[in-house]
Amino acid sequence: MSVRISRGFLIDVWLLGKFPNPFIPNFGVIIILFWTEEFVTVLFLFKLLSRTKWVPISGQKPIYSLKYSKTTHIFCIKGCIVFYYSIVQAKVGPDDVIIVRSPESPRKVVTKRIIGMEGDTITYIVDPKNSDTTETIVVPKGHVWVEGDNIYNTYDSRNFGPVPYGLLQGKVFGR
Amino acid sequence: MVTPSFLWNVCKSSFTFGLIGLTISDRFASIVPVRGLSMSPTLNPHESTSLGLFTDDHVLVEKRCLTNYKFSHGDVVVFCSPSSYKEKHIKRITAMAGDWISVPYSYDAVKIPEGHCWVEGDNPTNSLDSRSFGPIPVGLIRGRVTHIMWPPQRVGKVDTRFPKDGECLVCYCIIIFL
Repeated sequence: MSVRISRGFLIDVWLLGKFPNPFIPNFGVIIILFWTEEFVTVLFLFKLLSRTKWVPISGQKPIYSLKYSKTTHIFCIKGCIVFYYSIVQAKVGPDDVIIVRSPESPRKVVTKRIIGMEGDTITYIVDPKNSDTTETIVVPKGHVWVEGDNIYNTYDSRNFGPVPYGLLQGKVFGR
Repeated sequence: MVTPSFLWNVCKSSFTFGLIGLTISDRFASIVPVRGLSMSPTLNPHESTSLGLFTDDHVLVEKRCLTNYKFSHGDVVVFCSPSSYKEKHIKRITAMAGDWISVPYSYDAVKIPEGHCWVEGDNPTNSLDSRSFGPIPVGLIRGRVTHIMWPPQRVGKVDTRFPKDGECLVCYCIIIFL
C-alpha cells in the first residue's frame, strides 16, 4: 500500500497544561485544523476558562473569597505540516508514481505511473490481453501519459487518453 | 510600546488568521477578478481600460461544489486550462457528459465523454473555449461563479441560463439500444 502524501496541513494541537500569562494572547482564539481531502473541521476554542481560587484575605482569621484568576491553557500548535506537494512546481517526471483525479469520474482518485510528459512520443500496446497491435501518439502540451504497472488489468491513458496537469493531485514517495 | 511579547502576539494572530483565510478561500468561497471579454455581457461588459483592476468585475467563486463535482447546464465555472495548468479560465458550461455537440464548420457531431463537459464563453467571437480545446474533464473545475461583487452597480447574482441557439447546436439524444 503506498503512502499517499496528500495536500493539506495536519496540525496537532496538544494541550500542555496551564501556565500563567503573558505567554498566551488574551483573546485566545486558537485554531485547530484537521484538513483532509474530504473535509475540513475547524474548531474554534475561545478562552473562556477561568478558575476559581481561594485566597486568604486577612492573616488572622482567614476569610476566603473567590478570586477569579484567568489562567490560560497553552495550546501548543505543533506544526506538523504533513505535506503540501504542489504539482505547479512541475517536479514530476517520467517514471514517477502519481495520484490523479480520474478524467472519467471526477470523484475518484487513482494511482498511476507517468510514462511520458508533454511532447514525448509514446508507443503503447493497445490491448495486451488480446492482441499485439501498438499505437504511437504524441502527448499534447499540458498533458501527461499515465499507465498502470499491471498493463493487463489497468484502466489508464490507453482508455481515457492523456491527462491534463490540472488533474494531478500528488506524488507518491514511499510505502 | 512595541515589546517582544507584543510582536510575538502579532505573529501568532497573523498566523492564525492566515490559516483561517486560507481555509475559507480554499474550501468555501473566494473573490477573483475577471480579465478579458469572453464572458460579455454577463461579466466585464466593457472593454478593460488602463485602470484594469478597478474596473474589472470581481466575482464570488464558491468551492462547496467541489465535494461532489455536480454541475449543471448553464453554470459559470472557473477551471484550469487543459493546455497550461497555471492559467484559470471562466466560462459557462453549455453541455454535460452524454450530450451531442456539433463541431463548428463541419457536419460532424461529437458525443461528450463521461466525466467531461463542454464550456463556452458568452461572447463567442472573443472566447477561447471548448470549441478550440475540446471537452474538458470536470476534475479541472476549480469553482463555480455565483455572484458579482464589484463594481457596486453590478452587484448581483450571475444567472445560470441555457445557451441560446446559435453557432452551437446542442441536442439531447437518448440512444436506446434495442
